[in-house]
Amino acid sequence: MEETYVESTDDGLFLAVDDDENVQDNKYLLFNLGGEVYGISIAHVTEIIEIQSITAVPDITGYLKGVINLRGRIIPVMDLRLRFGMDGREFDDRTCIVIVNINDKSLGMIVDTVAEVQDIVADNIEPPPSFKSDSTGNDFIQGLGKIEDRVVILIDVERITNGQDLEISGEE
Amino acid sequence: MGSFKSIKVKNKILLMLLFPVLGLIYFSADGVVKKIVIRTEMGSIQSLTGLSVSISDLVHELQKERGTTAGYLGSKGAEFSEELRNQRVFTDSKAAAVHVFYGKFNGARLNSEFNNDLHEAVQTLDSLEETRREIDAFSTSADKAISYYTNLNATFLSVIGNVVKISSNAAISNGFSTYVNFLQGKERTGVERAVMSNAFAQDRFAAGSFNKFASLVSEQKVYIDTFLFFATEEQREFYQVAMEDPSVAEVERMRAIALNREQRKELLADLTTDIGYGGLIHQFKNYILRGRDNYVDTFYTRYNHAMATLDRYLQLSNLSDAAVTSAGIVKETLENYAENMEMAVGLTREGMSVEELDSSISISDGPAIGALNKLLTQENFGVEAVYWFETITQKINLLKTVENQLASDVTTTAAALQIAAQRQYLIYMTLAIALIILAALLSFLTARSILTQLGDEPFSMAAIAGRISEGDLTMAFAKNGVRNGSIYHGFAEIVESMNDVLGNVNTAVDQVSSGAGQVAQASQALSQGATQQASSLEEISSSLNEINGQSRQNSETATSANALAKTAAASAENGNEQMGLLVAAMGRINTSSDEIKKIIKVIDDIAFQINLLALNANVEAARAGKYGKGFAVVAEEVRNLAVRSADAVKNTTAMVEESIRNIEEGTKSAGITAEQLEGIVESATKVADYLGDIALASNEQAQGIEQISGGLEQIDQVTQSNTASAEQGASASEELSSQAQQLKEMISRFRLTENGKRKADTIYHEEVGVIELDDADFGKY
Repeated sequence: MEETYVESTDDGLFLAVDDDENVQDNKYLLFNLGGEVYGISIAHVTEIIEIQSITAVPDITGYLKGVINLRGRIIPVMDLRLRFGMDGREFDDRTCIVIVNINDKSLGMIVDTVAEVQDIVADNIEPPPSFKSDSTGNDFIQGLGKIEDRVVILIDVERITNGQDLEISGEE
Repeated sequence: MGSFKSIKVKNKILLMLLFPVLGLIYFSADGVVKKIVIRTEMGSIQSLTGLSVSISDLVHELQKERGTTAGYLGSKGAEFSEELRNQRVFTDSKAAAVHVFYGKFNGARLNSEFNNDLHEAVQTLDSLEETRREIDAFSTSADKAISYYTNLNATFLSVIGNVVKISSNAAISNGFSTYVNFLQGKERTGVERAVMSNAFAQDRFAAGSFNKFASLVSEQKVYIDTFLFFATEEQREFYQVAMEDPSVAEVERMRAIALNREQRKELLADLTTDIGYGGLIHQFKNYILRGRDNYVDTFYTRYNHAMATLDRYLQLSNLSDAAVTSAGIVKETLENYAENMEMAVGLTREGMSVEELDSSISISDGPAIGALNKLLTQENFGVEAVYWFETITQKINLLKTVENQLASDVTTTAAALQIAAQRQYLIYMTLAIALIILAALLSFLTARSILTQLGDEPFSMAAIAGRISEGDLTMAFAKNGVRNGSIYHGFAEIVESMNDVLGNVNTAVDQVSSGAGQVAQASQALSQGATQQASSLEEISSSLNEINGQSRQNSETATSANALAKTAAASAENGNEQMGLLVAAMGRINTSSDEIKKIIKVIDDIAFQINLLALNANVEAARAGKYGKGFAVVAEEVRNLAVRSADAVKNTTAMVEESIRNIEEGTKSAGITAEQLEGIVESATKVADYLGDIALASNEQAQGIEQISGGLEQIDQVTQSNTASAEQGASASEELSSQAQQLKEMISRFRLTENGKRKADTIYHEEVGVIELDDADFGKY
């Protein structure tokens, strides 16, 4: 499942990968959750939409809020706050759903709001702190990205589903 | 009587009460003692009844023993020997019971006659064993033995009879009379049983026995009639039911047999006369021997009479078979004689000689004479002694049940009477005690009420009243134990208030006297003062003129100030209106700002949408790889624009909110200014009003001052009349002084306590407080 390919160059220049097919690799979509800024690799992102009405589905895990109908496609939606163990909050007109593609399956992640798309080269990414490694199931932090004096928590989207079946969509 | 007067009221009342209470106690005690006597008598009557029952039980057994003994002796020991042995055992047990009763019985309270009888009866009973031995040895006659038992029973019955005399209660006496008469009757029945047992056993009456039997029967009737006379309806009924037993009728039947004896004897005597010497047999023989016709006539006369007598005899009831047989033999023989007589008369007519006749007629009078002798020497009762004894014993046992009933009636009556006496005694006692207590209580309350109202002895009251009428008010009154509302208390209050009033009058007279002097002095001073007053009045008049001028000037000044104040009020009103317009304008600005905020929100939303689009474009561009790179740059630029417009929106919003706040503050300030202007308008109006008032007041002041001037002239006139009045006052005060002196002399008639201090020399009400009738006093009654 570890599929990340980091182009390591000695000089760390953008130009070095300019000609490469994978221009997506260093780009991250940043979004706000609580007071923190998180990032996910843009390669997984399909689309960003405003919050819309969610149809609750009975008998599913607590942080899975239900499904949405996105232009004819049924997509399961997860509240990322609940997924990260934070308190939930009322949705407002800045709440967005980030549609991601994991192993050809779509998932909507509800975030407080999206901020920007940012390039973060591998040199500026630190490995996740070791004290988290023992808590199995929560090791979805890919690393800590540095942008000037800010720190962005980079999420590994594939692990966020924690191997759970997302067959709720049933279409793909 | 003088000494009676000096007795205190309390003691008089006690004396008055003493004799009725003593009387009440005497009569109550008398009544209670009577009830106790009745109760005690009923108690002893009850125990006497017990004794009587025990005695009558013994008498019953003795009666049976007497009857058995009589039968035993009458049959020479052939009959009744076993019955007698058994009967003696019964008798002994009842005798023992009487002995026990006698031992326990306390006759001390009863009269000596009763005790003597009882003692004698018990002593006679002691010789019973001796008599029995004589009977067993046949060494005594039946008469003697029966009379021993009869005597013994009579003694015991007289003991019971004495109870009637002891009781003073009619019901008890009546009950005992019934009982005793019945016992006597039953005793006679017992004697009858003995007498007739003997007679029936021998089939004849011993000498004097028949008379005794006859008198016993009549005595029984008398006693039972007496019993029935005294008996109650129930007792009578009980007796009659008991007497319906067949044994009673059987006894009557056998009794009738015994009683028929005389009739039989009479008829047999007649028959003997007709048959015997000079009788029909004799006449028959004479005719045969002598052949004279007169013998024939006499013969037939005798014969007819004898036949009639025989028929009457045979018609008697209850004849024994032997008697009927004997009478038949006599009749047959006599008929035989009659036939021979007829034959003899016929032969004589035919001329037969006496010798031939005598030899041809052969007849014997032997059977008739033998049969007649048999009838004469034997009674022919035809009654078995044992049957008689059993039957009459059955009747006596029935009588015994009646007797038991009567004894129990007496006991019940005595018990009921004792209970009634006890109850009466308690009621009487309770009532007597209650009455004594009530009388004492009422007297006590009356005495206390009278003395409470008086407060002290009446002669003390009289003495106090006498001293008050002499004007002596120096008495001292006791305070402790005096009841409010008593006459004594009333006197104390009268004297106290008179002391107060007259003391006050005395003081007042002194003050009036000195006051009169002061009034005279004051009148002088008043006269001088009036003169000075007149000169002062002149000065006041000139000052007033000056004040009048100043007031008028004051009025004018106030009028012009009023006009100025009105102008100021109008200006302030105008400013207030302008302020209203300002506040309205600010309100409109505020509304516009809200509109602006809404527009800004729309712009912000659009910026967010654009940002979202830019990000999506960025995502798409990234996905397009290096071909989308240019597009990504454009998207980034778009996003930057969106971010900038969002920032601008934020700034604008802040500024709009700032201006809204400012407007709100301005509105508030304008409101305050408007209020203050309003205040100025009010104040200016009030100032104008006040100035108007001042102008008006100044005018009134000027008028008032003119009235004062008029008043001053009147004062001047009054001052002059005051001077004259002062002189009159001086002479009036002299008159007052002399009258005060007169009043003082009048009051000095009363002797008063000095300034409320009591002289302790005279104290009535020596016994402090009213009479306290406490328990100790109560005990005197």
